[in-house]
Amino acid sequence: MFDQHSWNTAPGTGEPESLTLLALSSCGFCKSARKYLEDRGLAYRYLELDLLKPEEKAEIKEEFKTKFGRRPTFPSLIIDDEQFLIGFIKAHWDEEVRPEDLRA
Amino acid sequence: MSSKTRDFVQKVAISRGWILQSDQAFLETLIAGLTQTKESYGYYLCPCREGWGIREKDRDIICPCEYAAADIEEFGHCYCALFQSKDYASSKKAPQSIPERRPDELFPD
Repeated sequence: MFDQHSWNTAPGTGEPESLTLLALSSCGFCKSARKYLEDRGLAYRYLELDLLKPEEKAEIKEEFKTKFGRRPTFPSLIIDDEQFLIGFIKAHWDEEVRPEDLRA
Repeated sequence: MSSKTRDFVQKVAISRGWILQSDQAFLETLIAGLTQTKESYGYYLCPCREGWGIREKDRDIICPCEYAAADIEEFGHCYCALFQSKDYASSKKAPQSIPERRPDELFPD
């Protein structure tokens, strides 16, 4: 997914493409989400949609909607292009963000 | 600018009987986020929602948003967790995302 876009990446274990974070630069829970991933040493890629050009933002939202059948809210985390988490709820992330299950 | 934002959220909290986010680091990110949206759009757009950048279309999500009271009543804090109920603040629970109450059709395409 989203292969045509230029992503920011955070270093860590695994491939950044396994964890894709859609965020807003002003959002507190988006910062919590990034800290969660970084505290666990996980590589991920991210974009802050409010900082994108309107056409690029629209493309990403449309691709998300086509794949998952709903509009993204922030943060949204896409796991291995197959699964998504909406919002930052630590218990859900603990269940679903499992480094051992991510594609290498 | 952030001191004006701090004053603004403190006044809102007092007038509505809400408590500001008690996690100080999280509160600072929200004040910074609100300051940023004010500078970008000219009004305090909710920092956790995507806006149109057009005041008329964003009216319901200008802080304090129209959904805050219902969210605080049901979940203990507003959508971005800037404002809390007294009970939630006393619980010392970490803030976490809550469901979006704003109708889908009001968001930008």
